[in-house]
Amino acid sequence: MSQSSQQEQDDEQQFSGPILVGKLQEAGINANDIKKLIEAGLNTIESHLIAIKGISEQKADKIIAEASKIVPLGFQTATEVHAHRSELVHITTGSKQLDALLGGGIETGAITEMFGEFRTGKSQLCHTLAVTCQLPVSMGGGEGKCLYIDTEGTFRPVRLLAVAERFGLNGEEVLDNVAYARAYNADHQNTLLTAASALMAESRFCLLIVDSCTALYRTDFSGRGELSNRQNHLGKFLHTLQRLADEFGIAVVVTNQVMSSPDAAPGAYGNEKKPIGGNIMAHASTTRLQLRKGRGNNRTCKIYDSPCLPEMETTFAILNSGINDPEEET
Amino acid sequence: MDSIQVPTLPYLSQAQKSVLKKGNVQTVADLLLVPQDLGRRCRISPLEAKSIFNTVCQNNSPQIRSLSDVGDDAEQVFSTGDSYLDGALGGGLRTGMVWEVFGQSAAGKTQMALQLSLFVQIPISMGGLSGSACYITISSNLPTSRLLQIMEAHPQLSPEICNLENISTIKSPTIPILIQILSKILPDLIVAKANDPKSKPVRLVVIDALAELFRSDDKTTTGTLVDRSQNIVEISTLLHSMASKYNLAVLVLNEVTDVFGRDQDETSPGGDLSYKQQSRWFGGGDSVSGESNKEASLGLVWANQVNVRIMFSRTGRRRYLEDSVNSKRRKGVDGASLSGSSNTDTEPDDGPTLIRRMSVIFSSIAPPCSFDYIVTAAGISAVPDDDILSPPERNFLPTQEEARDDEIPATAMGSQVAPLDVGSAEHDAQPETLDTTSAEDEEWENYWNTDSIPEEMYSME
Repeated sequence: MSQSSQQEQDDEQQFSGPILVGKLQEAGINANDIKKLIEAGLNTIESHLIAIKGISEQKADKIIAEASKIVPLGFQTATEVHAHRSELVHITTGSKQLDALLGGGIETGAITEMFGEFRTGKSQLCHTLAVTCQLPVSMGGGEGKCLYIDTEGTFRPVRLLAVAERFGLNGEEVLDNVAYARAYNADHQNTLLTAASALMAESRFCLLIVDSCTALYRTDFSGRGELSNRQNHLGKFLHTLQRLADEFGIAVVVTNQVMSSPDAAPGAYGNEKKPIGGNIMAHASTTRLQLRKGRGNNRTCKIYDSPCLPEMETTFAILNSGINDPEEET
Repeated sequence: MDSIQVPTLPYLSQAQKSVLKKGNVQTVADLLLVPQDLGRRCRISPLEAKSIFNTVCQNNSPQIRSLSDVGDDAEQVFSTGDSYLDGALGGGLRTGMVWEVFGQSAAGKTQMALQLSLFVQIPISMGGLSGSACYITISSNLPTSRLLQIMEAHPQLSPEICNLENISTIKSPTIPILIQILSKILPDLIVAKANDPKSKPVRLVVIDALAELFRSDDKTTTGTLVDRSQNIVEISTLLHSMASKYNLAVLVLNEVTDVFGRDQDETSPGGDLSYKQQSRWFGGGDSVSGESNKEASLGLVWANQVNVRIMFSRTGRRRYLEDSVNSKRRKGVDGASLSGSSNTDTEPDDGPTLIRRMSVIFSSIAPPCSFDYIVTAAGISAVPDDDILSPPERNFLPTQEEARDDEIPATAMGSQVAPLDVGSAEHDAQPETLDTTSAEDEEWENYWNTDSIPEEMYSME
């Protein structure tokens, strides 16, 4: 097995912060090997050691052995987990109603998926989140930078400035704190995550946005013949996202497109559009949100799948200053 | 017998004992489990190892026991919190077995696991096992606020009889870590809990969700499939031995894959048994339309390892439930607002509840059956319906189950009436919480209302 490996991981790192691989040097691992690890995008101890050129199986085993000594591994009681989780940072969406629906905002350390037709506010939500994540914790932010991976070419810095103005932040600083990357194909999208890992080890990030996660898969792979390849590729991408979320305690927000199913019988709510990405996408995301159009600027958000939230929905509005509560109807 | 310490064996020589000690063989069970490895572990010649092995075997040959003796340490059963569901599963969740629950995303798999990890804690007199649970997650974190919510909302649960303290959790993002946990860390915890009189013994182990471990492979080749099979067998061997050794229930959650075009080639040429054709009998249910579109992932190897396979799925149906159910839910929503997240701002949940479908595909202790269920604030509860095609039959269990027989609703009986007797089945099968006729009417009315052209069609840009 060349994919010789594994690393230890602990539940606490998102609270205590990730441990950098540099620490392994103290444990007697050759500095050269550590350099190789960093080059391969592995910057924290809690990560995969996939076959890296120049690292033999024995060497990998040794690195793992040392790493597992540094990272504690054991059972915790749910009470302890609950105590940790109550400290968990939630990033505000800008709308009080939407935050209430989500139990405080976008959860860190997990993948949140938003799907809906065009013009349902997916990208607008992303833009608002890119700003609110920089707010101090007391204001519902995460005090961290944002990494924005754009696959549809819909990123507009102007929108960020407008949102920043609403929260009283310095526009230039806000833009400085958003790392932006445009992905051009599915492989590129995947490699960007390696670079992301390196960035995150350097400074404090608290949000990773992929808008949209599946658009490139839709164009790069076509037909049932390539379906298996596509799903494998997508599965790997989402696995890496989950890994980043765990290691760095960041919130991961991905958007997803929808498809209509012409052959399905209309249900009680008409012919509902289904999210694409199949079972892989469905199982990988912790929270799934369905966005629908509403009257005027209003959009409806519905919890589609969540381990702890009931199936409910609420309305929010897209204003010039980002996502907000809908205006009172008079 | 298995726990007899090696140093106490009278028929081994002092020298033999010392080599065994060197190889860290402490009990007879250790010794008998690794006959081939014994030589290597203790650094003795294979011949010598063989002789030790034979001596122990001769002196330790197990007795054939009659069933009446076995009865004492028979497996135990604990309630799922819903009496209808208990009946369908053969009395509840039974220890000593590996249970598999699989289903699409948002079908309620995790909800089931959370609910069970609370119900295993309730006293034996109330249908629990007064035990504790170990919850192994793969990529997600344990949703503790949801646990508190179920505890708050479910009428049978209260903080006095179950708490978060009795649920241990660990995260296992990769296969080697999981194997390490199952072979070392978890047994240590179980033994420690069993020896500590203050804590409850571990009676339930949950893995949420196994298939996530096998997602990161690049390409599907014969090589990766062989690796996968090996890993699955290794994990399930550990699970089974743990289930029988410590008498606990193992619940493994699994994911689904889509099934394409199974209907076309009904008969495969040459009468070969192909997985694709055969898997319909064990891979998924077919009780309602759409259910057969998905089947459990991880293939044949894993399917052979589980004792019970239960499928969860979402149906397209929604139904207004009568007030008694709704008020229970309302209470749960308020309970949630107490426990941190304020739901008071959001719209009250007045919409129809999504009906989901649960099918017991196969089970070594209960007949296959299929029924509807809903997920509410209080967890999962079954909605017995008028589906007379697959009546859930109640499995009459001996011993401790008899005490709770009277709690099993008459609906299980009612649903066994002749297929033509729809009317009576409908009336008997519905518990008082459900008003079918009005619910159905409302559903249709709702359907016709929403099907009219939406307002925004007129104001299209």
